[in-house]
Amino acid sequence: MRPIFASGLAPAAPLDRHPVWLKAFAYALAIVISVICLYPYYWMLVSAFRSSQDILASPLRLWPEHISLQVLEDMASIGGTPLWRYALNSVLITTTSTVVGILVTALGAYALVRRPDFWCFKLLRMGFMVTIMYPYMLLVIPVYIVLFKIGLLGTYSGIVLFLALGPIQFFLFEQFFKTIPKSVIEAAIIDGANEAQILFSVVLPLAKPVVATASIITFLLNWAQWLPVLVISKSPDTYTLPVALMNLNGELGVNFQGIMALSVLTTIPVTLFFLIAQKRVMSGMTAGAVKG
Amino acid sequence: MMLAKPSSPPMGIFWLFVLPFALLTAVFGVWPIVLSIQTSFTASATALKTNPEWVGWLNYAAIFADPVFIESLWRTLIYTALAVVSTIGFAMLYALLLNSTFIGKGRTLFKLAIFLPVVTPDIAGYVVWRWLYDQSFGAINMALSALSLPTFGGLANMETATQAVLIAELWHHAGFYVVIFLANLALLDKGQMEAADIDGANAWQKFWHVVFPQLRPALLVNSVYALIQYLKTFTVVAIMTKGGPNDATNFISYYAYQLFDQGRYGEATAMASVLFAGVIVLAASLMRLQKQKV
Amino acid sequence: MAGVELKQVVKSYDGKNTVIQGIDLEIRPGEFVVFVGPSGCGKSTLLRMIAGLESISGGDVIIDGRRVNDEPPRARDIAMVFQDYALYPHKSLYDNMAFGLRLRKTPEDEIKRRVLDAARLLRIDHMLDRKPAALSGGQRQRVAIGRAIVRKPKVFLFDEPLSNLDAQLRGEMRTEIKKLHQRLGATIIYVTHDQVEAMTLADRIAVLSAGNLMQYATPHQIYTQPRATFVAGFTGSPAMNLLPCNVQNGQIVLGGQKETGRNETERIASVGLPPHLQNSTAKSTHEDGRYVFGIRPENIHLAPADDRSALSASVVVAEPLGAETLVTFKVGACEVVARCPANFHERVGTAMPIYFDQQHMHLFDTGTGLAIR
Repeated sequence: MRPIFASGLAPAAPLDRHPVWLKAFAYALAIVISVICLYPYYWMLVSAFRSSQDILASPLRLWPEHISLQVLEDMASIGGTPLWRYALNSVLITTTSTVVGILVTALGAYALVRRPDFWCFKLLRMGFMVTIMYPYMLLVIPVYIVLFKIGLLGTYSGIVLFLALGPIQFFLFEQFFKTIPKSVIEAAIIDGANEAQILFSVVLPLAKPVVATASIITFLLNWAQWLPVLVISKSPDTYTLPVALMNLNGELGVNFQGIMALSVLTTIPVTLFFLIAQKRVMSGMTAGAVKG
Repeated sequence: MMLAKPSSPPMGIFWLFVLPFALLTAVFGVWPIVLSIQTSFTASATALKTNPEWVGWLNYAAIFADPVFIESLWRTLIYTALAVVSTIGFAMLYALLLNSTFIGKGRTLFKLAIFLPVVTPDIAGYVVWRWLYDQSFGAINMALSALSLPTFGGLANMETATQAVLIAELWHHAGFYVVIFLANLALLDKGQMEAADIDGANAWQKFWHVVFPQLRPALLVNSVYALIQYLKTFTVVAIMTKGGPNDATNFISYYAYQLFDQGRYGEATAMASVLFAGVIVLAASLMRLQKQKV
Repeated sequence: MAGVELKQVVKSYDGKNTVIQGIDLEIRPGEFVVFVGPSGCGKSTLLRMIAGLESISGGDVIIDGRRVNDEPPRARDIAMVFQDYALYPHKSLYDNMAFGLRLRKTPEDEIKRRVLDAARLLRIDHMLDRKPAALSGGQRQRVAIGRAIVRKPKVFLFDEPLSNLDAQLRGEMRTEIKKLHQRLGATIIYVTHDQVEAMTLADRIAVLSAGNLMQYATPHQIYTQPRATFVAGFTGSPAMNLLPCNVQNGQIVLGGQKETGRNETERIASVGLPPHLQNSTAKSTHEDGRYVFGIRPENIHLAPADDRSALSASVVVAEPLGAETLVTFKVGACEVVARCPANFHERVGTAMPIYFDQQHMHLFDTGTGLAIR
């Protein structure tokens, strides 16, 4: 019997005992699916360089008739706010919320893992779990009210702080800190280190890979956020790229090329990020859900 | 610190470590949720004032009496069930394919291709899909007619709108589960597989008796995970259909948001609370199931 | 070097689950004391209480004359070697050993001196710039020991340090630790479940069971005068033979009472009550005269002597070990294991007399397991 299941991550033993047509079929299937996955990007990219009329006329073209850079002029300002401002906001807000989020979550997770039996901490962890179970999109409604009450509505800080909390980062850190053997911490205690020294001299040096993974994933997720930014902002001055896209899309019959160009702008950075760090991202994002 | 028991280890600096996290969770998590539940018991018009009017279960009664809500609830449940089954089913099958010995080189490329939509900002992705679906200008219908196949009703048609939305969401979410299943498949017990080989099992038998039983817990966990994820379907509707045509894709999350937009805060938060309760029940049963299996 | 004293030390969790029942122990400066016992007996907990890693629910822990109950580990001037070595994975061996000293703001040249000395002593001085991951288990354990040595603590604590090593390595490291003790003259408290380690390393052994101190004595005393069946069965391989018996009319009748009518076919085995046990059994308040009889395999011989008592036995099974043969004999209704010379060649079923050393017979209380003296 020719084994069909590759048992384990090691490359399957040379098994060219499969009939060619079967392998070809398998590959064809995977290729078709992959093409379906990737076609929207391709369409997006090509359309960004074609004028709106051309897009409407023949949507299936695989290559622009003539490269139209008209869009750069059109897109210079959307709804009164310059494009570069949206881009800047995206970069600023995403980076800041990632840094803040990682810091806060890492420290919090560390404390919770070091003193798991403390009732206050148990309560806190449960509170966090409950929070992430709430339909995220609908959380913005009461958050709007809360931010209103504490006066952070419409500010960058409000947006950044809201985006700082996330389940994936927390689970990544919690999982990681749990893998540090208790005895290593105890050895440091006996060596005479206080908690701050333990954190900085022993734990954090070991956490570098996790911090990298969590940071990249948080960045990717936060970049794509649009509803919180939309709801919390009081003016388009604090909108990010996805929000701008959302608004643009709402206006029917207007600049298709522009929409596609904006989509490209919104998508390219994170795509590049992902391609550079794909292993980390894929394993990190799915870490919590894999049983093993 | 008085809160710690005298016999338990000292808290000291851990208070400091946990403070920002606790603050954020309280201010941006717990407080809003409490507020939301509170608001669901108040009259919408007064919700944002300092002394909102308490109306008890009125809002809940109102939404359950609202035919649009009931239909939306029903629609959401059906859509979610469909979405979960197709996503998990597809993910498992595709993972099996990619993991099989039919595919040697290029496995990573296929993984990347299917995972890319997961990290793509959903707005951008759905915007493109919307145009692909367009009846007059969309690439999909162009391609279909070029092949002399019947055109796809897409987002304009009540019957096909749900399907269109589903395909788009599948595109966005499936990769996540494919990678999870691939990781699970890599952890399969090699010994059992070899034993089955020696016993002379064929591919189907090996799947049913060796692979599937080991995947069952993962299937369960991921199905619940997907359930929770799909119940929150929002962005795709906001971009592609705005709930239409004729409320065909007006799922709970979106409907609740519409109400919020209209200022009907009480009812919107009531709906959110109902959804929230549903998710908690699901998550709790998941935890119980996990404890059992282990 | 300092002494350690435990006074009525108690450990309980949540006020209910008491794992250490109140232990009194005193360890002299420079002494090598081993806490030994089965899993769950509380030996590690006791060690960790001395270290300061577990809180003390009751009683006092005194190090170098000072009560340390409320002091953190860092203030107790102790060093600990863990079972899984607990090295800092991202630091080099040098930095692993230097960490504690650096925290105490020791000058770098002093650190260098101490680390190199310890490294040379443990023969790891040629790999100080490597990281723990590149080392074998035995090497890692030496680094862990080195980390403790450089601190020059008052007391060394070892928590099952050799359990993760393979058998051969364990033997080598055991010898090294013993040599280290002779060289440094340090006060060492060593926890293990392995009785061989206990017997070979200790000046005194504390045998623990279920949070109770069963006996605290030198290895020799533990071996020859065990205070309870638990202690007796713990040391020696193969273990001491423990049989139910009856003491009647100056005779120890092995196998206990049997009322069945099979007495004719089962020959009742008995030995005369040895002199050193006669007084105690007379004083004993046991009406039915039931005890547990103990004798070690090496105290059962094949040749007669003045101070040995004879019994009839038959061969059940013989296990040749090369240097000797372990033979299981049927004596009356019981079986005993004896250490016989390597040339033992009698066949299964052969009837032959065997001889018990009178001096080395033990009697234990059936209920409490305590020795009758």
